[in-house]
Amino acid sequence: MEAKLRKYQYILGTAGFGVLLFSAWSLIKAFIFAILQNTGYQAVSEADAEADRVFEEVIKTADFDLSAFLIIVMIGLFLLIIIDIVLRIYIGRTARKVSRGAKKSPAYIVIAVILAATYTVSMYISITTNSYLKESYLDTIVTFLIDITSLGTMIAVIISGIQVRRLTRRLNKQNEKEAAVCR
Amino acid sequence: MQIDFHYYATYCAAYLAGYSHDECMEICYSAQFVDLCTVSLLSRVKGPRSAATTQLQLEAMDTRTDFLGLQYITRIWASFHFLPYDLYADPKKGGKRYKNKYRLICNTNGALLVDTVALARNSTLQAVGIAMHVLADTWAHKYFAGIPSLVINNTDFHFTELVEKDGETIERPVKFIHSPGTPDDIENGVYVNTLHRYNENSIMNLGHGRAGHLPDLSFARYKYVPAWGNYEEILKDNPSDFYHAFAQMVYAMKYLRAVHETFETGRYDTEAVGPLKEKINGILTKRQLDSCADWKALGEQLSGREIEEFDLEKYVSEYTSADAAEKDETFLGKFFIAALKQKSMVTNRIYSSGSLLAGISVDFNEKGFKGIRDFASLISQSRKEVGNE
Repeated sequence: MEAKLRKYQYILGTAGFGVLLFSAWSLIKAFIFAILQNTGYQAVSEADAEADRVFEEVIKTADFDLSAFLIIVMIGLFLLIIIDIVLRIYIGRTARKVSRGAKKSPAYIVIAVILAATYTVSMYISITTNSYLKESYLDTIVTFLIDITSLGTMIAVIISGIQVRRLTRRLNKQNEKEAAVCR
Repeated sequence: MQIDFHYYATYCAAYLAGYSHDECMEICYSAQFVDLCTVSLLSRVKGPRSAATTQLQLEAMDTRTDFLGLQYITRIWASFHFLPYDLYADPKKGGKRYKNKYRLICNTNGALLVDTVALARNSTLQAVGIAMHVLADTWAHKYFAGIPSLVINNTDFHFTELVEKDGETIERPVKFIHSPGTPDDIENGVYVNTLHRYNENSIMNLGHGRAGHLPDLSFARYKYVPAWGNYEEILKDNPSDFYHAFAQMVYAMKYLRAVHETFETGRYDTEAVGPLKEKINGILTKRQLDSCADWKALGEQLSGREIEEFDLEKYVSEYTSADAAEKDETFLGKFFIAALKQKSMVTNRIYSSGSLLAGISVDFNEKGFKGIRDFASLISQSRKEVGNE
């Protein structure tokens, strides 16, 4: 059982490191988006012809300041990215500490489940609304692979985190029983 | 192992096996010389470079770790310091590449040990010394392999030392640092090891570098999780292992002196060593980085003669001033021949097992000479031995 615990601790440590790396990727992606993408409405409409049509309707009927609206939307998006990064760093660091034997609350597993569910839904929406189908085929494959890998590391943290908690509890109970027998 | 065991302890074992003082000095000198016979030294004395039995740190860092470079490194380290235990072991996981490396893991009482000791029978005292070095190192270096390999030789944070504190044995985490010039701090459990490198073939992953000097410290008892071990923890009890190494050396050298007819694995001359058990265990369990003084005192007590300090230059001028035809009869010449034989034998065994990790092995004697010039002297030596028979 100790060997099994060690195995899951190693997986947890490695997956935690992966989650940390992908938080850096989120930051890089946001940075590249900010530098290389147009922040005007054309960038948003390029992805989806339907969204383009809806957006044009909104522009025609809008009685508010469009620039301010876009700025608020962009700030909101970046806030979400920052929250995502912070949560990933928390999950990654906690996973690595737990893999080395530290006792931590299971909050990181709960957050990892929520994030994994969010990514799954987001990827499903992206696939069904053809957001992955951008001009470049290579972009599509690379983005999809990275997203899948990111999801995979999160799932690995969840599974191994649960196993580590379970096995640690069983081992502690076993050790307590043995100590009681010795007494 | 270090000079304290390879030089002084080997002297003691040789004396207990029945060799005279002068013979013991030749044997223990040869045993220690295995840790010093580098390509740099061989170049200096103009000896055969293929007889190198070790590498300096700088030489190792300089050696390329491509396919041929790895073969070169493995030939040296697997032949003299990490004798493979079972060249036909089946790890039940991994492909052929992993299997070949797994099969190079060193352990005690393997088939190759029997071949190593047998090779030294009816041979020179230098061959005896080399065999004793190899034998002793199978105890100290077990569970590591003489090839740069992350998946075999790596260690990690699961590394604890068992230390005595206030009459109790406690488990203390080992702290590793990467400062080659800094001595190990045995009081606080801070040891120097090699850097972690994700590159499978990095020289940092050669042998027991990732465990630092712990395998060579006679007092050390520690637990760790080897990379090849399926997450199982291993307890390494150096005082016990070193004692067995000593007793086995006595038994092996009695075989080499023809006191015993055969050399069998798993046998130790506890009868000869028994009266000294307490004294030897006292030396082995003493927490000190260097036990030379204690082993020297024991050796001098046994023989009543003074054991000279090891001098690397002792036999150099004899070799360099000898004529080409007489070089093989000098001390170093005999050592080089014995080293070439040992390296040749181990390389051949590894090659015969279906692994190219130590290179290709050709029986030059049968197939006709088509290889490295250094080994030509080995062929003429073996022809001489056949002629004498």
